[in-house]
Amino acid sequence: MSQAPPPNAASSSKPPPPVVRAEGVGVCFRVANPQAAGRGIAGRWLKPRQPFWALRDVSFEVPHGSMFFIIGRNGAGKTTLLRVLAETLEPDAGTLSFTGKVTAFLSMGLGFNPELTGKDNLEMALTLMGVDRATFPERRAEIDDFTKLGPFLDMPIKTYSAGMRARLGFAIATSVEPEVLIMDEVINAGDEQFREAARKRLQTMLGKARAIIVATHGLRQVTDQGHAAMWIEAGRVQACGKTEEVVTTYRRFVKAVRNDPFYDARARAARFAGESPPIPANLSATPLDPVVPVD
Amino acid sequence: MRTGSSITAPPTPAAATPSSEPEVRVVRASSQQGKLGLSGYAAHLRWLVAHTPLVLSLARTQLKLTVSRSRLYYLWWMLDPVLDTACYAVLFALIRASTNAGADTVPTVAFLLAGIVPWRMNMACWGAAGNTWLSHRAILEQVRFPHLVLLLARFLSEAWLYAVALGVLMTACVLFGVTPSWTWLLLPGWVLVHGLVVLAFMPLFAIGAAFSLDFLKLLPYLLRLMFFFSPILYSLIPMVPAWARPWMYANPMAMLMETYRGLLFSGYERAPAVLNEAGEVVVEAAVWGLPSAGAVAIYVGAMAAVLLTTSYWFIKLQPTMSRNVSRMY
Repeated sequence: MSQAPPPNAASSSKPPPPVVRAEGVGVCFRVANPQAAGRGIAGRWLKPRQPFWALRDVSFEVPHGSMFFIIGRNGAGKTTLLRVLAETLEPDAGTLSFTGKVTAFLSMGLGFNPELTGKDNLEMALTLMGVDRATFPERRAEIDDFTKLGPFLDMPIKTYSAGMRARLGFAIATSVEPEVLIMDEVINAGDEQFREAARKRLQTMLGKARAIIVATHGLRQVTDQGHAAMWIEAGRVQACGKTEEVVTTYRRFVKAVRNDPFYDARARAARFAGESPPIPANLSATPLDPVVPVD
Repeated sequence: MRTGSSITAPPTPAAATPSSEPEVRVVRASSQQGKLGLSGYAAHLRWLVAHTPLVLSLARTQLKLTVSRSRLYYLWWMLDPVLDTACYAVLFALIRASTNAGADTVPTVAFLLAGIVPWRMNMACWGAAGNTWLSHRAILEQVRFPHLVLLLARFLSEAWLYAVALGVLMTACVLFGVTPSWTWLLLPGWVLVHGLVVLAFMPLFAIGAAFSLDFLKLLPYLLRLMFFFSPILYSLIPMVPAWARPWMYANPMAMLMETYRGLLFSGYERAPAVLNEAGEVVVEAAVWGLPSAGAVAIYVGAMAAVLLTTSYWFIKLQPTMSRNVSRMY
């Protein structure tokens, strides 16, 4: 593993405060429990909706200058957490504190409209991110240089391949030099060449940004690039700390539940009951450290 | 230093601190936040004003989208009511029903256009308000901004098209034999009032759609009902019994449509508004088929109050709507 130290971590005696600090964050939706609700229209109407904690007691810190990865299975709560961090979803419990402006890139493009050209979508996205219109030509040239889309920028997005969209979306999100960048599994969308370019660009950005937070399923990327990682399962933090330890624990968990056909049902029931997920006992030994240690 | 923030409230601007300690922004759970007071409402409106470039950009994008999907481009905005008018004109001719008071003085096609073109603006904006969440889900999930921006942008793009359509409407009126009068000069003022009416109800439809998908399904039928209950295809004078006419003005569309026709067609017999009937409150001045200044003032005041109320609730409910949208759409 080549776990690099944070490039702009302060070397002075007093470390800078964490860029993001979450304390007991919880998000609760009221949904019909598919296991409890009756069948048909009557079932939908008669059964009351139950609280479903998409996130519960989530506490962690993102150190200054770090690349912080969030890992977990589908439906674990990664995207919900990213939306809370992007401040587009208000938590029901807990407190979040930020030191820096947050820029989120949670899907392939910032609300790209397939009917509009790449250029139009680019301008719309930059406006959404609060970029001054006067700097658009400069940004456009820089984005064109990274994406190599050339004349395709004048064509509607609907004619783009998934990889082209990913390149454009990533280039836009990283063109503003955000203080805190939040990304959701977008780097893995393109081909190997794009992924390599994206990795390099993120490393360069990390020199200027305060932190980059990425939710991903790419565990190799986590161990290669990350300074810290957090594993979420059923809306709760199961492990948080050094990337290698967290990834190893997560891999063991995935292996353990792969052959357990009833785990998901038990986990869902526990979530509706407001209880912790039934993580195998030998895995829950990983200590939860709210302050992420950074080498 | 620490400053507070929530999804509803704008981020507190960073104060200049001589120390090197970075500013810490705190987001608390909804249960820990206070009520949205007048100062919070005003702060949200300032936040909205700060997003003017985004409103304009979204409005421009909407206009581009309007033209990107067809070969007739902007023309569809006018073709829509023209084709509607043609259908209704044929229908009325077939059933041989004289449904408008101005049948003697106002050509039928001009009469229908004067109702259908303004209604097109209402329908486009209110329908779009209901669909706001569906069409902007990706943006709403990623960027924190006042959601009223989306309604304002849609309103601006539709208002631009309406301004063009209004010019075409006036030309059509002349072509169909309507004599222009000085009251046409008052049209821009009434268009502003029309804009206020449209804006006032947009947040209401958006709120409804954020809380129930069924509302979104119901919205086209609701708008169609409003279309038929408002004097768009007919005039109040022959269609509604005399005793009921003043009460028709409980529907804000009645005042809007009757006044449009009063302004466009000289000699149009306009039913007096309920407030004019009262006599003591306002002085009737419906000399040219127009409402009195007092009636207009009360109408504008009432619509402004509706706008304040609906926008307040829209701002107050923004976090809840945001959450509902991520679950429902």
